[in-house]
Amino acid sequence: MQSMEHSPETKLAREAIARLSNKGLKPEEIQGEMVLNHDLGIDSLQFIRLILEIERKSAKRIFNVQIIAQIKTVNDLCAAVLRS
Amino acid sequence: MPPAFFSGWSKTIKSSLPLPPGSDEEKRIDDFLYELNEDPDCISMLREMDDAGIDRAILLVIDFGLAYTGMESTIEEVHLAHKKLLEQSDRFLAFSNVDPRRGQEGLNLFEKAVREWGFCGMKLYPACGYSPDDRKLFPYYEICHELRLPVLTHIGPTTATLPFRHTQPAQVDDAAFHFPEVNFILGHAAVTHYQDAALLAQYRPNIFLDLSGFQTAVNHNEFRNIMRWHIARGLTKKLLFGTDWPIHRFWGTQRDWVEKITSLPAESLVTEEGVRNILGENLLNILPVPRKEHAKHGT
Repeated sequence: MQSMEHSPETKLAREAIARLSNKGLKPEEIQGEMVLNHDLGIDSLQFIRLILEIERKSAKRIFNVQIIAQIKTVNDLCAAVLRS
Repeated sequence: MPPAFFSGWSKTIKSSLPLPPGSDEEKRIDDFLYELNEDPDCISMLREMDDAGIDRAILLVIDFGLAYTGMESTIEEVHLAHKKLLEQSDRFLAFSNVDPRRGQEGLNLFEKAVREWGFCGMKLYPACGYSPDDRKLFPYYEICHELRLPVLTHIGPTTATLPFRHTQPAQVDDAAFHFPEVNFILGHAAVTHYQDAALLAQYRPNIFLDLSGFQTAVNHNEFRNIMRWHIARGLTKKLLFGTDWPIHRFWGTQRDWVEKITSLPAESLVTEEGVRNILGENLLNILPVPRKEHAKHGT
């Protein structure tokens, strides 16, 4: 989990979550086990924005439907980003 | 899926997002939507059904042939593709749909589907331009009455390239009134126009409410309140589980959607018996098909 917390890719993901969440959290306040929808208020449209933003800033294709369907928490999202 | 249907669906999603028109991100949304729909042999669907403990699923034909031009397949070919899936797996059931404006030829196709090809219900897609209470549908309802087939009709908005005017719950009332022994399932209406639909389901014994699309309500944290609304009106035996595969694949798996229902007793919203009814028993009671011995969830 150490590498997940500090890699540039997951930092980018946390920054995007912080920007799109309606909870007013800073990136460093976002916990891995937080559920994107229930804990961070990321609804379906915000989630689309989130994955588009992560792909755009990483300049690569990361997600597909099967990967996306498994993403519930911040850790799930970061793991998908790291696997890409 | 007809290209014009896809285009309207895609435009609706994009219109809710602050993306520059024609940007790479807009194209990426189309990639995802295409991918969502890529499961022609239902392999992914069966895999997810296994994981979720869903025993059987109903496949729905939609006749877009009069609503859009340039369809790749005739409506008969669409039916035959579904018939092939029925022959490949006993885990599928299928409902036929023929646009009632096709006249006698269309009625003949529907009869063949339900009498010879194993289709066990009727689907309506009124957004294609007809109302469920259109008299042209009454000969179809006569057949449904004779064979004890349920009628599932779409309720609520759909792609932006089709009109929504015939998709209100009230437009089913006249048909439900004239055919009291035909069971009408209002597709998505447990969560879309749900207050109007619940009123109909409360007072018409032959009206049922399909839950598919509830994923959106879950996403907006509205699902529990909607369930409370129905339960307070004694509708537990009128609610039918559905997932609207493949549309909501993006937001979770079939297993996730089953778990949203099975978790309701822990929140004192529904009893365990209510869950069994919603996940399968209610539907089995109105389908003309034999029950399976060991079904876990759904039908």
